[in-house]
Amino acid sequence: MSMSDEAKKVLERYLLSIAGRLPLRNRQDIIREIKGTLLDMLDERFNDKEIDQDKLESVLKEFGNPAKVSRAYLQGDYIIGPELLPYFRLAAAIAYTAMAIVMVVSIGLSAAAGNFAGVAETLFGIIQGSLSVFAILVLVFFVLQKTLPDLHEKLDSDFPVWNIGDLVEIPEQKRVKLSEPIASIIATAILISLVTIFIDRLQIRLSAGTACVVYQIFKEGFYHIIPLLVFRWSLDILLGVLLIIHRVRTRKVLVFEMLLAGLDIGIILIFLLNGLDHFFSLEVLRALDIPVLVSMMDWLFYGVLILVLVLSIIDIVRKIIQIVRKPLYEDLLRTGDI
Amino acid sequence: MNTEEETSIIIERNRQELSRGVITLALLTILSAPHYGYSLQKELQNRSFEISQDTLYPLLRRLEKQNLLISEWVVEDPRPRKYYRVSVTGLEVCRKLREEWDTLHTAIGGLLHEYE
Repeated sequence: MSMSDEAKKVLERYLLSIAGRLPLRNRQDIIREIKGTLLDMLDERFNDKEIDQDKLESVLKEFGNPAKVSRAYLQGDYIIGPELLPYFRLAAAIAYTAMAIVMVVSIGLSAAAGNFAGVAETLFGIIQGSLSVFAILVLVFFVLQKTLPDLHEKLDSDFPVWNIGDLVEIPEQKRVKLSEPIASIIATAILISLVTIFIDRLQIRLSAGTACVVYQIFKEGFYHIIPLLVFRWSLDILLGVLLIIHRVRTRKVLVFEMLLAGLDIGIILIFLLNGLDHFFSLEVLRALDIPVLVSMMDWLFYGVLILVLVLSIIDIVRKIIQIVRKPLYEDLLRTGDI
Repeated sequence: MNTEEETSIIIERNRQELSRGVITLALLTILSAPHYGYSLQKELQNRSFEISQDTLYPLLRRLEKQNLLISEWVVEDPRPRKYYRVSVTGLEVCRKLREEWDTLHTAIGGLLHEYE
């Protein structure tokens, strides 16, 4: 049996539409089986003829609405089932938007008052609050899931008539440009050598006439955290190597990047909780007797850290979404050629 | 008084319940010999069991999860296929269900005959 390119694309879109609604577990196996059945049906109906889009469509229509097909696999025990999931997402979006507004206002007020410890406390509170909100929402929807009657009962007539145009589009596989990981590896290697080999040379010399005073930029606290920083940056090099090998952000690469973002959050919190003075020597700035400069350093230190912290949290959320959505097509491709 | 549509929905639900009750016995019986999904569906259709793909495949997976069926992918021409067959536990369950069916069949047959 041969199949036209257009028909192959429609078949992939149909399978992708089913796969998108299936749980990760067994998804590949289910899709592989459905694909085999569809090909068996085509074999039986149009033996030895080339399958064009019309022939394929007739079989797909018989097989059914992708939403209905996938739903049949979902009649298990759920914490939150597919019927309630859209409402759960809506409730979570409202709750987290409200929290984000409170966070921005609170951080803004603390930062304006120069209370950077307050900023750190707010961030901790946000993490705790986010987890609490999530737990409460899950609990409420779990109770609804278990108590609402007839959640799973849905007759054929409940599924709308579907068309090929309704099927999801095949996502484009974005290949990573080779220059991106190479530049990252070089930059990280320079950073590692700076904090290991050349750290003692990073100093400020102040001369007045014949006298010369040398100030070390880093304090003991910074030296203690260097092994952790080197470990983190070494993982960055490993990530670069993975990207050079795979050239696409596979599920494993995304999980790895998410773990790195998590590690970043941990390191940032260590910096925030210990404060600027614990890591950097400010004596040289104080010696210059320019208070504005010291104040600016404070702002810069906490500002950059908070910005990176927020970006890391956003990055983790984005990665989670990508991990759940992106592998669909990869799973589909692994089911073999038509 | 129900509308015609409401009545047909009730009938459809009960029809589904009725066939759901016997389809497991039918599957466990047929799968004493290995079948892949589509061949199994054909076999069921030949024996007047109308079952759609979106009911059959998830049901096979549920029975497999309950250890009543065993499955394996067999690489064959023209494509790999997932074959199912009944397990030892499945055979035991099939035997018990058959006894239940015989009892039920006798009981309902007698009842329907009496009130015909």
